[in-house]
Amino acid sequence: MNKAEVWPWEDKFGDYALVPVPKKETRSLLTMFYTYTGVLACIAVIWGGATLGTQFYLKDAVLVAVVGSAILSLIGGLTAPIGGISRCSTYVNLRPAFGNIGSQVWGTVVSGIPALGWFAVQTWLFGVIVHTLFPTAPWATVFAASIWGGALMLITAYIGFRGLAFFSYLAVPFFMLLAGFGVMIGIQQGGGFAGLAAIKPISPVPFGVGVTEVVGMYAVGAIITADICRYATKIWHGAAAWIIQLMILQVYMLSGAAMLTLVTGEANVAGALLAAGAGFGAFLMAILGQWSTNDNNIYSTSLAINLWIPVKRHYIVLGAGAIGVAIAALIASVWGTAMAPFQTFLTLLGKFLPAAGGVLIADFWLYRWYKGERLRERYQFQPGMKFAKVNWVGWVAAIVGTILGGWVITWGIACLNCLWIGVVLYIIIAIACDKAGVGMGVGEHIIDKRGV
Amino acid sequence: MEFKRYVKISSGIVMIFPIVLLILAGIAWSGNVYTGIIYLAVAVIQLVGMALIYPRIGEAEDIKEIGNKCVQHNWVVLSLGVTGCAMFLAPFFAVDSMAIPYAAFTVCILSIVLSGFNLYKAVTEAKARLVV
Repeated sequence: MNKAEVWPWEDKFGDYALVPVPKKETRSLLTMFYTYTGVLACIAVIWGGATLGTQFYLKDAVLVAVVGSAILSLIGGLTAPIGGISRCSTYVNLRPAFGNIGSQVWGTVVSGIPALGWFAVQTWLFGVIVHTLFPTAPWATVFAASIWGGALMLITAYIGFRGLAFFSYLAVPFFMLLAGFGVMIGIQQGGGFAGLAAIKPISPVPFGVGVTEVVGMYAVGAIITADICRYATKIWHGAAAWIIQLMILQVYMLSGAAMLTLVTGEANVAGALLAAGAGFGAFLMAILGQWSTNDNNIYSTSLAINLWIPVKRHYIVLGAGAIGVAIAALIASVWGTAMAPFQTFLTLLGKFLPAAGGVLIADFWLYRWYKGERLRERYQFQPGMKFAKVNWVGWVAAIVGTILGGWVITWGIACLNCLWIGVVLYIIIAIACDKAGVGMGVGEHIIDKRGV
Repeated sequence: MEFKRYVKISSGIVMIFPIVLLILAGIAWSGNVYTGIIYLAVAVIQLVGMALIYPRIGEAEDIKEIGNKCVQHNWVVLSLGVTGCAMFLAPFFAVDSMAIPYAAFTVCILSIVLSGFNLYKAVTEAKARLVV
């Protein structure tokens, strides 16, 4: 008998936002790969590569990209199997380690709000890029492009995982080829690889700073891998797709953008591509790249918020999306306010996520192992299952981990520091509580068949 | 026509288009090696992506399974075809004349049409999913 036949849940809110994805709805490794790559394929990553191009010689830029991607692979390689086993989103998976209220609060604070914020930032960025490409067109003002661009991005998020995957099938190969186009232009104008390798960066920084930039750029994505890979047919598919897209495609995109920037000195890659003769492709790169990333942002927001607002998930997409588009169109363009303070606020919230991810990793991989739970039996949620309202150990580990890793410790990579401190604190306190017979949970919550 | 046979034949026809692109890549290569590489990349990915369908459906008997595999491979061709259409008429590809870009553009349009039809057939006839 397969899992679908004993699926005891009711998908009240759509897209299995609060309940495990049934076996019959799972998707292939290819779909996992495309969907993750759809998140990766955005102008921001290309701009990240362009920044490396201003900071490092080509050889070092490639090395930075490889090391940064390897660290992200490790983090995502630990979080993805959690989604593969539980078949639930990151926010549902937070329940055991943070309690029911904890999963609502932490899910919203560390991912729901930041993902909505980044949706607004990316929508605004889309408006800026389109305006750069077509400075005189009335439909391409930052205001107008933010509105129609944001509306486009909501379509696939509204549909749900099928929408994200469908769009990634279309957008990903295109984006990759266009990145290749950038590489070709870079090599051609740089006088071949030898010429490129000799170009001196204009603002050199230490190696570690570059690695921090690469890891920081995608650390959030590495922690919320379960939002996508809960749909994976096999447990290892999510981790495999995640690692392949990082170690091959992220390295390729960062290096390609770095090459183009080394040659042109231009950090605006879409503009550089247009100037180099990419034509309509540069425009499509802006549209498809931003779309395939930003729909995932608002999708994650809807999953996180759905934990405490039990309505159809796509209503949350529309509501949150409207707020995001309004922020992008009004604050950034009409009111003329720079996005920098807003991005600083989002970065601040984002600092809490690695420690929360560390707690999740510690609870699933270490504490459950310590308790003797078999791997495939961990996080097997069922209707009627009891959770603490608040798991104070998770809260303490995540808050202290964030403060120590984010502000007190000044060496190493900040988000990695938060993560490993979260892991260490959680496992030490949890085992100590277990040995001493001290309860980790406060209150009790029983989930019903809707997953609420 | 039996669906498996249809997939084999239509895949064979689809593979003609990247082969034409390979020839165009060879011609473009002499004018500008960098444009040649991009033609080559599109052609090779489409060709390999489509060719792999033969061993994958060789043993399969279940029509839905064949349909799902048909969807996967035709998506690769279709999305690369869209990429080619968006890129090949750009100024960067106009090496000596626009003849090669226009030819490549036409080939990509054809690959989009046929792979799109294959997706339609897989979904309607084999009850495959559009996102597998």
